[in-house]
Amino acid sequence: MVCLLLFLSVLGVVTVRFSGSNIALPAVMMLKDTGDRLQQFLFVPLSRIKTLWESYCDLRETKEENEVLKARLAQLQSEITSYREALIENRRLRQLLDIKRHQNDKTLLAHIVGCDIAPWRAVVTIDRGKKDGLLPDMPVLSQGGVIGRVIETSLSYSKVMLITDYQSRIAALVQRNRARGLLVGQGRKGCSLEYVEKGVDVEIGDTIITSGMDAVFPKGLLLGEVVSVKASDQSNLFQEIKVRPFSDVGKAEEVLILLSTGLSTSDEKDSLSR
Amino acid sequence: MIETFCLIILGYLIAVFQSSAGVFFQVGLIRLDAIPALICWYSLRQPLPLGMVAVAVLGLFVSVFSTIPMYVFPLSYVLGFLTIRYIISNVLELYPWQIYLLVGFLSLEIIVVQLAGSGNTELVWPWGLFQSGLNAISAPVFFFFFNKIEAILKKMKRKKRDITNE
Repeated sequence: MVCLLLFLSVLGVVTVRFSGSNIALPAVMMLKDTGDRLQQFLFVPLSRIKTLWESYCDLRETKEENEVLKARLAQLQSEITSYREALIENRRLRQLLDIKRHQNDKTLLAHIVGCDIAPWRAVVTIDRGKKDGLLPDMPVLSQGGVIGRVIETSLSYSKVMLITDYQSRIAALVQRNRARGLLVGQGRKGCSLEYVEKGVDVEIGDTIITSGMDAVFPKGLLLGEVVSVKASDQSNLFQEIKVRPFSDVGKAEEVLILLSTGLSTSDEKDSLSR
Repeated sequence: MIETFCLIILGYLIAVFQSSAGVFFQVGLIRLDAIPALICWYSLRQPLPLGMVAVAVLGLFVSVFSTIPMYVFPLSYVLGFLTIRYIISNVLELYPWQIYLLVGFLSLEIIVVQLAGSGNTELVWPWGLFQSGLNAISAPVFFFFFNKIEAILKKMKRKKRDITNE
């Protein structure tokens, strides 16, 4: 104990005496060196642990932030999708509105909500019915032109036979030379213009419009474009004309219903039905 | 009775689904159709008087979703049902693959009647045949679901009976 006290007092005296002259004794230097070495020895791993801990904390925060950002991204993506959908719908509705402006008759917008359970029938269900004033045989239009006609109505829904249905028949004419024919649905193949005699001049690219002769569609509505003309074999009196409908039958989502048929007044219609 | 309940309710739900989302499962003029499999599944379980009436009722329900004349669906389903009953009355045991083949045959019969009823018999080849093939191939999946639903309903009924007995 005495030795230790002696050693410390000598060390203290020596340190005080030489502190002003910047001369450190070897013992002090050794002591300092040892301390520094120890400091260095501990500092590196400790700093590494600290860095590791900070990285871990950062990582945890980043993970949480990442999850929040992912949720936000998903939300934004769904918003973008809905905006894009609204934009596309807006474009479609604008096109329908253009058609509406050119029509003198009253029109009504409807959405397609279903299809026929039989896959070979090109019939769709729309969300308008008798309560909206719909009647059978009312023409239905889409962006491109005629898409079909109403064939059945219930209170709130109606069935529309598309022009590509095998049962569909529309009185038509070639716009360029007024040649008459019957536009017949051919399912997935589109339509064909039938009963056009062999001598009549019909070319690829000719526009087909409604003739108004069927008392269902008003005259002059766009139907489709001729895509092929073939003079069939000698036994057949008529040409084989394939027509591609202007309206995109498979992709339509909204349609416009003309609230009148080819007959102008209800009296005419009644007289015909009688 | 559970089978009949399954037939009518499931058949109606399938018709609703197929008429609203059928286009998404359509390739050409064929689409995934669970009703023939359901009729075959039911026909193998239910004997004549009640079975025929139930199938005809299902036909009436399904015809709501189509513009084909209303009598065509009940007629096609009843004919399909009678065919299956006739076949199984002459067979001792049916293997699963034979049952699925039967679904294909039943589908063809139903499709021929429906196409004839709607005036499109020219579509029997190739679409009618392709549709029958698809129905036969997809039948195992549908049979699995029908069996599961039947088992769940039977379990529920048993539980209810046990509670009543207690």
